[in-house]
Amino acid sequence: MIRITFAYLRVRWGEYALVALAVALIVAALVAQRAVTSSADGAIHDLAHRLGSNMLVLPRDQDVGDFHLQRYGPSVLPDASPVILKSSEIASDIRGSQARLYGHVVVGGRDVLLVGEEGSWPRSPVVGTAPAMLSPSAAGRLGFRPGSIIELNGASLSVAGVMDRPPDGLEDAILVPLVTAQQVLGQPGAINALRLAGCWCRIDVAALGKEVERILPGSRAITVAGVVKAQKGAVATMGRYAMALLIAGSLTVAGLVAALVSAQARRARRDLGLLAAIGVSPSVVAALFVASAGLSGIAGGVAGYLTAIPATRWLSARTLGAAASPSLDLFAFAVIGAGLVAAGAAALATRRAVALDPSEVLRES
Amino acid sequence: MIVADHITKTFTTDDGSTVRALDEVTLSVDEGEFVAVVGPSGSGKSSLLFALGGISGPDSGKVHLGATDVYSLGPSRRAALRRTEVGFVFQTFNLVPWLDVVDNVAFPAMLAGRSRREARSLAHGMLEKLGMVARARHYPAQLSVGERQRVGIGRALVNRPKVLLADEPTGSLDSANGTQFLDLLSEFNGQGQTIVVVTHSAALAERAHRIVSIVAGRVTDDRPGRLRRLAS
Repeated sequence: MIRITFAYLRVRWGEYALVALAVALIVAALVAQRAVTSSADGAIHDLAHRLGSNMLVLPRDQDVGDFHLQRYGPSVLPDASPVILKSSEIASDIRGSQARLYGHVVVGGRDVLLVGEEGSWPRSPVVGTAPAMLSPSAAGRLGFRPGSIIELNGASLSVAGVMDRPPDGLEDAILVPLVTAQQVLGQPGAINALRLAGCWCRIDVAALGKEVERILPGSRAITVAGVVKAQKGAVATMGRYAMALLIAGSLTVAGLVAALVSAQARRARRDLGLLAAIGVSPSVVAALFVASAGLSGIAGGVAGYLTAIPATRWLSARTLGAAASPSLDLFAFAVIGAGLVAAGAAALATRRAVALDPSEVLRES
Repeated sequence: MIVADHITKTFTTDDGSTVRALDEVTLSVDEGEFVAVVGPSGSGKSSLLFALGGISGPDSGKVHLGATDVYSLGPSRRAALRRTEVGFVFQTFNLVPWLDVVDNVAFPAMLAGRSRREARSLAHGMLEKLGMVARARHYPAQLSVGERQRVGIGRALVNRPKVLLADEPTGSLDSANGTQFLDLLSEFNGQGQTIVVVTHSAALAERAHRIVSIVAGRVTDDRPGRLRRLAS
């Protein structure tokens, strides 16, 4: 039977190869989509784990999406905001804070992000200048190295060092003390972002955010939990669409295979009649079609999974910022699923073929 | 050996009219007999052959092959009977195009449950008898019509069936190939093979023990052929 099936496939290889190709494309899309969704879910878990219970406070008019795209509006908060919070009734819930002022400056004709940050700073290498730390990208792009002097809007900076690993989102930036940034950007006493860290697992974070907004008028508190919740919702939606996509893909595979087998059965009436005449039982005729379709489904599943590997890497690199690969579980799903769907569709389509009266077609020949 | 008992078969044509292909046909073929069924086109010869071979059941009447009531069997058991007890040879050969010569001949043996090695060994033996060993690895499309018919008879006989049924087996052959094929049939019949042949060929019919004439689905004549006349 196996040999007969392979002999049959050898003759009809073109048609079955087309089916396998179609199956491969559908399987590749399904596997890549599922792998990216799964990686997105994992990435959100990582993010939540990494950020813990941080809270981001922005000026109310600042669009959050724009903020993450490093587009900063004119609205600001007072740089006394951390002190105000630490002297308020919610001080015990706040473990730490980091105030920043973000803005764009032009250095040597090139736009670069300037970030002013509170905290301890290294000594400036040149007396009378403010210290600046550069990301490797900014240093390379602007041609600066430690000790270089940067003149910016009347302020003199000297490069104290180039960071090995710049903070998240600051891959191309100059970091300076907050007061220096306020001077350079012409916004004395202002900040446009405040990160709060705390241990508020026992309290209502949403309520705490409302408190922050009340204590700092004109502010908006964004909790990581809220962002993660929103992102999880988006991933769950993707998951639901993935199921719809899976069903649609399976139906497409089944339809393709059923159409192929039906067409073949119509075209191969004479062969089928002959096989029946020489004693091939209906179940063997059905098995021939089902095995052929199942094999092309399996081949399509393997090819689809292999195609999904680079596709998943490409997609995840663009959507998640890190290359992901489909798991081996998905390989089994792709191969067994495609084989079963193809074989099942062939089994349905074969019913007419096995019911054929051989004498009808033998009479025609 | 094989008995058709008052079998009737009707067909509905595309225009909805009914055609009675066989009308109360009764025929008995003994073991080792060589019977030729003759008649004009559309007289019911092929319907009779298909009914005898378990391919297409009659609307009424019975067909017995040995002690077996052929159409009391289900589709799978009837298929099993066709592959072990009956061999078919067709006018257009009907070889399986995607199998080579040896596998075409071995195919019914494999279907009958023999291992591939055993089936191919039987097929090689059959191809030797038919003078086709040199063409064993060729595909049907690479053979001449005479060679294809020889492969067809090899396939029909590889399982040593009780009866060989042939539907216009020389219809696509030229005179030389036709004669060769008739010699082959006579040779197998001489070894005890029961043969029923549907034919238009007078030459073929004259080789038979009996010539059964069918007209409009009825047996109109049943007379001895040359073989029997010579014997008596």
